[in-house]
Amino acid sequence: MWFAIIASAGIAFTMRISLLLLAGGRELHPSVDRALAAVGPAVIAAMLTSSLLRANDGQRADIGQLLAVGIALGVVVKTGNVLFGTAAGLTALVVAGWLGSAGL
Amino acid sequence: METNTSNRALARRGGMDIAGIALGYIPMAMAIGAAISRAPSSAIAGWIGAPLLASGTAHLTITNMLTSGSRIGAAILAGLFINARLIAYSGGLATWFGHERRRTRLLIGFFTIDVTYLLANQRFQSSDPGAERRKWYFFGMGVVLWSIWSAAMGVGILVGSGLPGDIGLEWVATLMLIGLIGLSFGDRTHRRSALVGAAVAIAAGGVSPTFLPAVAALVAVAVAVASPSKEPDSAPGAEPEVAGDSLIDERAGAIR
Repeated sequence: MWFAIIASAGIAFTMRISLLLLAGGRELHPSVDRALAAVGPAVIAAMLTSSLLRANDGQRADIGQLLAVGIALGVVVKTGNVLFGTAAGLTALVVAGWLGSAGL
Repeated sequence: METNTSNRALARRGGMDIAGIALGYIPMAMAIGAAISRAPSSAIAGWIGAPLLASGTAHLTITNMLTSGSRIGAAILAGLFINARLIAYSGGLATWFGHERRRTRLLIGFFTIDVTYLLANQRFQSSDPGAERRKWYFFGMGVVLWSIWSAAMGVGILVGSGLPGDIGLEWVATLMLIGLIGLSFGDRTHRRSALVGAAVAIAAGGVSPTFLPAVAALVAVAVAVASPSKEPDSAPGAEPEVAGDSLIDERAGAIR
């Protein structure tokens, strides 16, 4: 475990500083800038979508969970507040769970 | 010349911006801590990955692979693929911090992860504190996130299997990340990239989650390069956009 964690941390740190050191101070071509800006949202969206597809022990998220995700996203887009969106999504999850357990 | 007080205020602002999001990571950190406590190897070795590796998905994957008897090389390779996106983040941050001294850039690299990268980009595009002061905002975010993450994982290791498994808290981190994605919907490039990433995940249903980040990153880069933006690129040294010009202007402030 020690070796795996330290080696992985070293590799991760090397990746974290790689372009910061290599490209630092140089003007990047706009297309490179654009490409780099695209990576973060794409990776996070891919990981989130993947986790939703395997949300319940490998099964897809149920309707209530998808609804909660949609509500959280909608609230954030409307209000611009991540905490409001999370609270709304969690509330939707609780209500959906309650409705589900009530057989509705 | 900026005063120390204003630098401290900027660091505090960074910390406040990320604090709410960092709280959403607590369940995930505790879950990883619980997984470490169940692993046959040293808990300290597992915990040290919290501040040093600081990548939940990679940390959990490595821990689970080692616990299930995989080879060390395979576990390290899996972590490498999951974290390959950090190279792109490093390049993205170079446009904001490229002028900094080497040791400052090393420290910025240490604190680089999805949320610090995304929030920094949003903040600097909407209200850039200036080339010489950006680092204080970034350090404020990093210190708060790393502290909460490491402490929560430590609690997870101590509490171990005593953690309730079915209280849905894992959804807090998921919803927080969805919120971050939603926050970036005001920017056309980010919106398109998020949609590309989601499409890749759906299309690549059979691809191992280990390789998914790298695949999504490659496709997003290809799409971004193939679709030139019609909007002027915002340069790090450029004047901040006028408030109201971009939805992100308002939203970056509203996250506090």
